[in-house]
Amino acid sequence: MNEQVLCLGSQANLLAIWTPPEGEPRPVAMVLLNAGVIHRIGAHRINVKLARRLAADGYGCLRFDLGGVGDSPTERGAADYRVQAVRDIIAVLDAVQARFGVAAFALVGICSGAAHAQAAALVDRRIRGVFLIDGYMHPTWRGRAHFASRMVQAYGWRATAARVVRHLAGRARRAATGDPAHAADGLQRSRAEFAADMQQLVGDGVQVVLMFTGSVLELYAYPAQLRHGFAGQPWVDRVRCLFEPGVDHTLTLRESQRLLVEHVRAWLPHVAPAGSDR
Amino acid sequence: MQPFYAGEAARRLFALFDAASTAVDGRPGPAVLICAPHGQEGLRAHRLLRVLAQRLSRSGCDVLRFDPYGSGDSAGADEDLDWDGWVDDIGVAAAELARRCPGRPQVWIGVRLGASVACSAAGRAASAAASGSRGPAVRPAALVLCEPVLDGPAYLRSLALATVQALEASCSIREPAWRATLRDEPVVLEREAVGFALGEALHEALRALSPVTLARPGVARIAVVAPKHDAALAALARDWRVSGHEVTLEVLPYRFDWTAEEALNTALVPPELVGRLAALAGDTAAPAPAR
Repeated sequence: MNEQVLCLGSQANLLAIWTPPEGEPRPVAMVLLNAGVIHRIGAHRINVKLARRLAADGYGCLRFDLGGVGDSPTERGAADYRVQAVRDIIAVLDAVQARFGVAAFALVGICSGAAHAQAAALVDRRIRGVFLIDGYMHPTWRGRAHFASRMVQAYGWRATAARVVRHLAGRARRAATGDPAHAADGLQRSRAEFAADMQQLVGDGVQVVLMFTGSVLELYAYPAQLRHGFAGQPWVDRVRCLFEPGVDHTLTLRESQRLLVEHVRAWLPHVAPAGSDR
Repeated sequence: MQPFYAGEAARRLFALFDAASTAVDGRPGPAVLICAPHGQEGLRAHRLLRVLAQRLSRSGCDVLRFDPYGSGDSAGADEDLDWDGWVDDIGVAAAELARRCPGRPQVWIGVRLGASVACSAAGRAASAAASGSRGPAVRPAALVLCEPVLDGPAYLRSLALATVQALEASCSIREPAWRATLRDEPVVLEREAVGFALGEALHEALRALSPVTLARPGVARIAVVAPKHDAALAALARDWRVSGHEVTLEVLPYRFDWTAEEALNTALVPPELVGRLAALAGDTAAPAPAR
């Protein structure tokens, strides 16, 4: 293991670990993002596991803490968290390009990490692939029906009905009280904004994977939900959609971790620098 | 804060050094080695221990945190982490801290399983000093232990249960097979250990861990903190006192869910715990009052 510690960014505040590629290096490097407040090793150390396996396939990998997360202090004069997250990502891409000569990147993010990866890919064309796990989701009635059906199968009619009533009551209560925690979800993105983002990314040749786990079944409940929900959109058949109801949001079981590693390994060869032939 | 890799090439350990940012009464404080918990507990405690390190460095201590082999950013897979290797890694980290802070007394702060292994490492360091047996070359002047794990089988059961609870809390629909496995084959979930696979060697070591098997630390001063009265801990403290250790046992009613995931809506850093651990590190390293 020959990983290197790096302190990146204009204020050297971003703590990062670089896993060099083994053998013939590929022209794409991986960048692994924080999931929420979890530090750079990732949920259940998944970023370490991914980095070492992908490095064995020839991909240099960087895992790092965004400013204010893990061991990276917030930059002096930092912007709003989401804006700063994108700046931090771009800063580490600059550093990896300068140090290791890689000019194309693939990003993997879970939850808020997916949102940051998506936002960064929209503004930095060196990002040629994004693997987004439980990122933005847009429920549909058909999806809700699928979820209800799964609930009935698992718990029976009575428990399902009780849950639906609780859900609707909660929604009504939040609507009536203007619950700020619900109303002001800073990471939310409208359906139209999401569609425009996807259109831009696939138009730019970015390889996009959207993976949905069994932790978000209320919002994403069956494999074709994305295609049905965005039917007719030109980008929808150009993104890869993975539906993994047996996997939880933070990949708790070893089998879930192995599955993610294999999904990423299968996807990465499709990610290539801009203008190159795949 | 200086991040770096230490140790032999085949067993590289990730470490973070926080240099003292001030001196206390013109004198440097103790050098503090932080021994983090295992697995999900370690992940959950990361911010707590970072804040503790910063607090200590501001109060005049040099502080080293590290990931043992098979954990965090250190080399090795989850399954490679084992008790004896962890003990050795504490020795490597303590030697690195001694190299950076020569002649300074060391206080080792251990949390959860990290506290138990720190006891073992301190005990082996004492034996090594007395008889030349194999063990860490650096001995701590004091230990601060936060909720040490004393009952290995109970800890394993708690990991199995926490694995199921994590899945049930996270997944939209509960899978009945998880509870069935917990009932019929708990060892499977013990080895899953809330997302940080437990190797056979560590699993065996934990099955054998009890207050009887836990080595006497051979350290003059020991402070123990727990969130509630624990009869086994109290008995162990008495045993250590009888064997010549100066032991204080404090009940500090902090609340911290060690295995929670992102812990939304719960404290990531209980201030009372950080404050008390920092204070104890300073107190235990102070010269003993004249009797």
